[in-house]
Amino acid sequence: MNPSIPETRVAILARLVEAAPGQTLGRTQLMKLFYFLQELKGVQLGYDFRLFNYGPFDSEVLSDLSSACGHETVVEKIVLYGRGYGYDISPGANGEKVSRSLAESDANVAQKVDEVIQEFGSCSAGELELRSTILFVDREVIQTHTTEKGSDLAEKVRRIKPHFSEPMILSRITEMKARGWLQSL
Amino acid sequence: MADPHQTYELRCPIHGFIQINDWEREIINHPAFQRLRRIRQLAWTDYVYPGAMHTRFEHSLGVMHIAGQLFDAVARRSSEILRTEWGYEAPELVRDRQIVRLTALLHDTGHSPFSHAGEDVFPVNPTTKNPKRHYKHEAYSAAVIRYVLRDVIEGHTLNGEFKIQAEDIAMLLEGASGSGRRIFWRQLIDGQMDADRMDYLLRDSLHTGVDYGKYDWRRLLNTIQVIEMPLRKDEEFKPEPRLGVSEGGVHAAEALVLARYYMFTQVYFHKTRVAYDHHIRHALKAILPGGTFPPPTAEEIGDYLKWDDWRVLGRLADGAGGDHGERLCQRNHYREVYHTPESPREADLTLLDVIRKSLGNLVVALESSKTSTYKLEASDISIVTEDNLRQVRPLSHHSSLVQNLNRHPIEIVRLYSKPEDAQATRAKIAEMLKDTP
Repeated sequence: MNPSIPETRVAILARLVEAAPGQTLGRTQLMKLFYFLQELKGVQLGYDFRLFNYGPFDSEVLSDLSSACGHETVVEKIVLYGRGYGYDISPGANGEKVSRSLAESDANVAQKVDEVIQEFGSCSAGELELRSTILFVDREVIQTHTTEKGSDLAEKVRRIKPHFSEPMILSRITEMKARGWLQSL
Repeated sequence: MADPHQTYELRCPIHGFIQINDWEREIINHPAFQRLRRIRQLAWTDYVYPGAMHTRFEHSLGVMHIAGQLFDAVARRSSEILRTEWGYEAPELVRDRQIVRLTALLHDTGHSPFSHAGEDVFPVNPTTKNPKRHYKHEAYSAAVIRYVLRDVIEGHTLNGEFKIQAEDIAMLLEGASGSGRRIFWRQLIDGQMDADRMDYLLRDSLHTGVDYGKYDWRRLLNTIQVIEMPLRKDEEFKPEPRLGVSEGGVHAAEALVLARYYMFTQVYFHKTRVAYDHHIRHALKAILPGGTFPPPTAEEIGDYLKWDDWRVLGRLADGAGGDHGERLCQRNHYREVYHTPESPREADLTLLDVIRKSLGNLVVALESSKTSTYKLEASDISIVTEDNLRQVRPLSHHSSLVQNLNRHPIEIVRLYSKPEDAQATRAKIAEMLKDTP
C-alpha cells in the first residue's frame, strides 16, 4: 500500500477548492477538474476514469472527498434550488494547512492545480461535462493509434450527449484543439 | 439440435428461478464462464464465516437477473424520457436490454483466483502514464469477452435479429464512448444502485449468515426511474439525466447504503479476513511466474484463464506459496494487534504512527480500509417527488444517517503481528497506551 497517494489527492482537493472562484466547487466540477489535472496536465493521481453519460467519472474522487470532509479539510453542503439540488464544497478548518502542504511538498503539482483552475474554474458543471467528454473520446482515439476528423469526434460526443447541438460541440472542439489539448485531430 | 427459442430456469438461493434464453445458456456453458465456479466470491472468508463458500458463478447469474429486472422497470416507468432524450423506441430497447444482461452476466469473467485478493498481482497497465497503475479485473473481463467469448456471443441464432458484437458488451463494461447513448445503462453495471452491488450484498449476507446486507431490493425495483435533473440557476446547460428512485423508495435506498456500511465493517474488512487477503496476495506473488499474472492481451488471456482457485490451492498444497502459503495452509494467520477507530481523527492517526514506529519489526502488516476494494465512497441517490412538481433531492437530504456516513468515512487502519509475537506486542501497546486519555 502507498498511503501517500490518497493524502496527495486530498491535498490537491484542498488546493482546488481554495483556488476556485469564490472558494467553492460543486461535485461535478471537482470530478472534472481532477480529470483534467490527470489527463491534460499529466499529474499522476492513480484515478481510473470511466465514461458515463455525465462524462468521465471515478468513484475514488468521491472517496477522497469523504475523507477530506472527515478531516475538516473541506466542508460540503447540500444546496437546494427550485426543483433541483447541488453541492457546495468550500475550505474547512484544516483546508489552508493541507493546501499549503501541497505547495511546500510539490510546487510543480500545485502550479498545475492553479493552471487547471485558471482554465476551467469558472466553467459550469454542464460545460465541464461536455469538455471532459470531448477529451475522454480524444484520448480513446489516441489509444487506438488513429486520427479523427473534428466532425467525427463531434458525432461520437453527440451520441453520448444528444442534447448538445453539433455546432456547439464543434465549437468546443475547435477551441480545445487551438489550445493544444486534443491529440487525435 | 436444441430449440434456440427455448428458455431455461436456474434455481438461485436469492432470486428463486432465474430465467435464461438458449443464447445465454450457451455462453454460461462456455469454459471461460464455467471457470467462475472455481473462483470463490469472498476468497478465504469462510475461515471466519464458514458458510461463505459461494462463487462468482452464482453471483454473475444473479447480477444478470437483477440487471434485466432493473432495465425492465426503468424502461416501463421512464419510456417517455427515454424516447425524448435518446430517441429510444421499443425494438432498440429490446436490443440494449440483451446487451445489458450479457454485460452483467460477463462482468466478472476476468476475476483472478480468490477474487479481489488477487488483484494486487495484476501487472502494470502500460497504456497508462502512471507506472503504479495496475490492470483492474474489468480489463480482464473485457479481454475475455473480446478474445475468448466472441464466437459464442456473436454466432447464436438468437443474435440474428440483434447483431450484437462482443465489442458492444466489452465497451459497455469498460465505459467506452463507442457505446453511444447506451452508456446511460452503464449505471446499472457500475453505479450507486447497480446490479452487481445489489446482488453481492444480498448473496454475501445469505452465505456468511449475517443479516447486515439485507435491504428491500424489490422496493427499489418498484421505484427506480430516469430522473431529469433540473437546470441550476445561472447555468446554461441542464445536467444529464440520472437513475434515481421516487420518494417511496427513500428507505429502501437508505437501507442499501447502510447495508454496504454494515457489510464493510462486519464482513469485508473483518480483521481476520483482511489478514487472509494479505497472505493470499503474497502467496500468489511467490506462486506466479515472475510474481504476476499474464496481461489481458489477445495472446495471453488464455494463459490467464488457466489460473483459478483450484490451481492455486494445488500449488499451495505443494508448498509453493512460501511463508504466506504455509500460513494459509496451517491457518496460522497474522493477528491484529491494534486498530484505529472507524473514523480516525488526526490524533488517532498520530497515535497510530507512534505505535507503529515503537513496535518496529513486530508490526508485519498494515492494512488500511482506504485502499480496500470494498471501500465506501460518498453515496447519494437522487430522489424525485411523486407529485407533478417532480422535485429532485439527494438521499442525504432525506436521511441524516446517510449524510453522516458521507461526512465521517470509514478509514480504519489495522496493524498485524505474527501469531507468536501477538501477545507480547499487545502487551507493549497496552503499556504505551496506559496513560492515554
